[in-house]
Amino acid sequence: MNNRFTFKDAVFAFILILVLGAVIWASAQFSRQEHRLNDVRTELSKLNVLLASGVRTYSTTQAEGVQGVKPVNIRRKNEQGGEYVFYPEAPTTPREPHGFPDYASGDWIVQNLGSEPAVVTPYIDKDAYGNEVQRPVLETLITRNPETLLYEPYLAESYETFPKELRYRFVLRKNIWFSDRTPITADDVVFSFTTVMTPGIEADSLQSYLKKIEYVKKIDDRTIDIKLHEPYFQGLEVTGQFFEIIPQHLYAFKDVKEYNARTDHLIGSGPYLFDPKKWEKGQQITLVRNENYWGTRPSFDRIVYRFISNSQAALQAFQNEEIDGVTPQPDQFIKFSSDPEFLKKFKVFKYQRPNAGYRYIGWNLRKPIFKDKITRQALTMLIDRRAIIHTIEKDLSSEITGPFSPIVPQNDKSIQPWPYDPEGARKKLTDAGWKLNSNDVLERDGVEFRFSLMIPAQSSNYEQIASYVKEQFKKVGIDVRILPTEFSVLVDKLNNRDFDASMLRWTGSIEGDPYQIWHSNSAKDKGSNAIGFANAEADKLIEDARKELDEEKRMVLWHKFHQILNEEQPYVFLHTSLSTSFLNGRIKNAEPYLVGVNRDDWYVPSLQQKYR
Amino acid sequence: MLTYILRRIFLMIPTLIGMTLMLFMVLRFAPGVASGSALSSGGEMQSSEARNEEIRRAKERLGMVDKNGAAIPMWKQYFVWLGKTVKIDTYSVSGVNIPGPVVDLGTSVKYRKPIVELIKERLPVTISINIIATVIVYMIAIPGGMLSAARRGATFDHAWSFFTISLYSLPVIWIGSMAIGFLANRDYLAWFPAAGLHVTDTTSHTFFEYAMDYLWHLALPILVSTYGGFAYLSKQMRASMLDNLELDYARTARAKGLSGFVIATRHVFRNSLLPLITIAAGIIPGLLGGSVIIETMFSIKGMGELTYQATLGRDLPVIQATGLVSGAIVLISYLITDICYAIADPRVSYD
Repeated sequence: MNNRFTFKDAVFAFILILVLGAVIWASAQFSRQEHRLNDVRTELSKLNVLLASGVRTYSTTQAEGVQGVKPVNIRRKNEQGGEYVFYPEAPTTPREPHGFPDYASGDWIVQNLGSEPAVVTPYIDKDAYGNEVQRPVLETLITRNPETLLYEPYLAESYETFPKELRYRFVLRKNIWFSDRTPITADDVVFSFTTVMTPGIEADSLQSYLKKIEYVKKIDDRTIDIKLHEPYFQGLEVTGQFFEIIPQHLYAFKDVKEYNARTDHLIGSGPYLFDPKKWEKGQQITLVRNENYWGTRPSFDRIVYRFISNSQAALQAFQNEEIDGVTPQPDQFIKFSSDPEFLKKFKVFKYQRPNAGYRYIGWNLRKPIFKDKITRQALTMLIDRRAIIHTIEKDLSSEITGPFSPIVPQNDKSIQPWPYDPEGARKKLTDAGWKLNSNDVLERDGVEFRFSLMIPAQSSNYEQIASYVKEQFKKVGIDVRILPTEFSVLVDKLNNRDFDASMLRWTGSIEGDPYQIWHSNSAKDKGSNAIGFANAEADKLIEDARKELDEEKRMVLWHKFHQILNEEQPYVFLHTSLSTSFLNGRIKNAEPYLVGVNRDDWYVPSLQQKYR
Repeated sequence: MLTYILRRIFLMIPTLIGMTLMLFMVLRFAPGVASGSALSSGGEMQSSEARNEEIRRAKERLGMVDKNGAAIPMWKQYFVWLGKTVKIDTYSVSGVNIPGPVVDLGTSVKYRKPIVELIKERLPVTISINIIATVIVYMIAIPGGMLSAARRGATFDHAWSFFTISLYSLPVIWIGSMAIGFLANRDYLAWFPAAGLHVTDTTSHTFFEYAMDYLWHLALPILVSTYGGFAYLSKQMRASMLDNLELDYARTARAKGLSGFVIATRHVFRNSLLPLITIAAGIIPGLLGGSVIIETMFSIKGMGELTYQATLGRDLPVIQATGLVSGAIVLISYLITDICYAIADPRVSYD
């Protein structure tokens, strides 16, 4: 027989497979080098063109003032009670690094995204990761100063609000351009707005905010008027900061499908450039410094985003200095923030952000067991929220009394948290008509006090808190079943109001709009008021506050609203998380602001620079 | 033989149709469809007016509701989906147009890209890890199994079986964490990187440096996907070698005065390979599917991670596509197995 398959043949087959694999792999690598060669070639030809036309240089700080006179920032009230703000100079960060003796530009910053973004095209990005990549590339008319938290002109040199007319006027800076040096004009602003609002564009959540805008009108090449339909307290934010300005000549599209289909089209006016070819799938996205930038030249040559999802691996990569920053898990933070060896090489930050979200337990108020506020108050008093913060959260969160961060003016500081008082709670439960029955479970009007507490699955921290709550409630005769639920299912159940109680987190903002979560209108259909909270007084307060443009008066209304929630206890407000981060020690000028760390401040002294 | 293969291919069609039906039903009856996008980062939820619109749009895209939001009956959904997935088109083969099926896997909800492109992005890394791992497993397990059979009952046999079964018993998740914690940690042994496929800056790398860097990054994932595979394959090889060694032809060979080595490698080896062919066929779908645990642990964006994330985010088109593709691959690899049997063993005939 000649077709014998012997041991020798097997070995031979193995070697053949190996050789074949190597050949395929090698050819892939050669094509990779070819690509790189092509890149170099195109760069060279660009340089040639540039050389042939004579080298131009652009000043990095523009508008240095006429005849050396430093222009003055203006911030004043106008006759309508609105505000006129004029910042003639190119914006800089509050902790400008250029003045430091060891300041040097250069080096890369390698950050971890945790997951690969699905889409980076403006407006239609789907996750926080896509948004993070957009941030150094796209810019807005105004921006919030991280130190003062006030709005400042950015692409605009001035803005003025006219509260009586619900109108906002923005005047663009003179010398601003997109990364291809096309000037930014009022037309681009109008185009950006129309793009977001085009029906069919997959930017539903952005649209839901921008639909408060009646029109965006070009007055002249640099002036834009934006009018709202109705007074709204976040009007300036909505008109000036919610939509980024994109170049009309590069984004023009015939139908929405064309726009929705582009997942990696990201060009703007910001200090860094995105290049789809520098998005290595599954590995990293590299942003390169925009050498044509109109504003202050940023420190780093490149921003690299890696996608390391496993928190253990991310911390290891951070310690091995493969990535420069990481957001640690609570136990990792506890372990390393007190480790002197670690502190020698790395920076550790812990701070409270005013825009941090909060965790709560929400009672489905449609269920008879949760109907009355005395019962709900008792439930709050049964849970030692401070103990949860200390033992389960390891002091990485802080106490709250309502849906607002304890450090924002919206929060009524005079409200004292409900005490942890099991005896008082027992009394309240009796007052509310609950009696122990033969099963040792509380009973009222023939209904036993049993419910299931829905929590996101695979989250140990949630499970710990839920078990604690279960234990506490069991002591007084309330039977809790913990129901870990996969997230998609959980959202479905909330939407269908098919739950008893749920523990979750809401995101936060510096001045939040409670309408979505607390107004009775949002309880209808599938709004975010899943628990069905309906209180006429609270509704009225929310409606009034949203229309009140005077900050002081508005805060009074928010405080009243906060007091109602505190009395009603529709949620047990558990805590708001503190933010933690680790940063490589070579990065200087990195102390966090109130709202978090700010990459614009950072730099690496030339001796410590790691990447060429 | 040819008629047999053709018959098998035709028999695949009803199986495939049954598979699409199952896949479709299971996914449509699963709870939580079309609401996976509500989670923002850090486990926090965002309240939004737009959520309803997003869910309605997602359902419309999946063909679950029509433009006005009215539900479409399940059987209709299935046929619409099937019609979109498999189309009849004409192929031009040397000037002659013949009709044939075209498979369109559709577009991912999350990535908004054709799924074929996603698979193209993800497949290379999964395949390279799995092929290297499989080659290593076979190269170690088969000789190990043969030696065990030859030294049946001796110290080596016991030690080898103890060793491989111990490895087999260690959970991947534990070994992976230990590997990252000890072998990729500056405090212990920083031999390997903790995540990723190559270092951040590869622009100045030569081809060889790039290749070594890539292999260096793949070392831990390969290690973790290898160690558990020895036991099963070794035991199979050992058992089938022992079976064959007892048979007449082996005894004859021994009686002829051939050395044990020649008998083992020349005569018994080939006949002992038959069970291994079955195992090899079982491996092929796994090669392409990738391991969810290993890929998540080492932050490798491969096929396993794609399917896993799609399941969590209810990216139904992706789940359907990967399910369909892996199902088809299983069917094809069974066919290949049967053909391989015929080649390896002349006694097997299908005609």
